[in-house]
Amino acid sequence: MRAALTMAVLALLAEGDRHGYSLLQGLRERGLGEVKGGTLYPLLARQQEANLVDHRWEHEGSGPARKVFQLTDAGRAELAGLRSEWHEFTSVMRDIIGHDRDGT
Amino acid sequence: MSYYNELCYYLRQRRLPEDRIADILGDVADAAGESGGGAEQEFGPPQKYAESFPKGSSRSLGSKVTRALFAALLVLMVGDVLLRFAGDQDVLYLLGVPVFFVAIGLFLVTVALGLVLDRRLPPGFQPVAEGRGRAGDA
Repeated sequence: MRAALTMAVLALLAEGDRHGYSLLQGLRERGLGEVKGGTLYPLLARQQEANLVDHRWEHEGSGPARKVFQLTDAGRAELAGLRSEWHEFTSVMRDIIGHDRDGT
Repeated sequence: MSYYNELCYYLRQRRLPEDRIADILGDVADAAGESGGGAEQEFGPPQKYAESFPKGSSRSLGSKVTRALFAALLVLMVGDVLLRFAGDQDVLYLLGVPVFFVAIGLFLVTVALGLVLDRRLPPGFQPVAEGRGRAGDA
C-alpha cells in the first residue's frame, strides 16, 4: 500500500501542482480510502528529500501563504519507472489470478 | 496545551531543526484548517506523528538550557560536599538559604524551564482562529 501511495502521489502531481490537502482529497476521491495527513505529509517530506517533489509558497489574497507541491524532473522519471514496473506486475498478476479456471 | 505545542515538544525531542519544525507545523495547520477537523483527527497523536520523521541532530534551546543548569547544579552539589568536608559546618548557605534547598529549587526550575522552552511555538508560526497557520516563506 505504501508503494502504491508513493506512486499515486507522484501521479496526481504529474496532473498538476497541488496543495497538500488537495492531494489528500484527490487520493480519497480516486478510491484510496481515508488517507490521513499523518500519512501523506511524511511521505511528501521523503519525496522532497529524494528530490522527486518540490514546493513553492503561494499567496492567495490576504490569507496566509500556502505550500504548493510540484513534481520535479527526477519525480517524472521516477513515476515513469514505477508505472512501467506496475504495469508489468499487474499484467503478471492478472495472468495468474485473473482467469476463473476451475469455475469457482 | 495545544496540539501544536505538544507536537513542537516531541519534534524537538527528535532534534529536528527549528525551520523544519515550523514547516511541519505549517503543514498540519494548513491541512487541519482545510479539513475542518482537528489536527489530531487528521494527523493522530502528536507524539506518534513526530515519530514519523527521521531524527535530526539539532539540540533545542530547552535542552541547552537544561544541560547548562544541570551543570551548575552539579557544581553546586560537589562544591557543597567538598566545603563540608573541608570545614566544620554541617550546613552551608548560599544567599542565606541552605545549599540543599537551593539545589532542589534549581532542579525544579531547570525541569520546568526545559519543558516550557521546548513547547513554545517556533517564530513565524501563528495558528489562527480557524486552525490555519503558516510557517513563513522559508
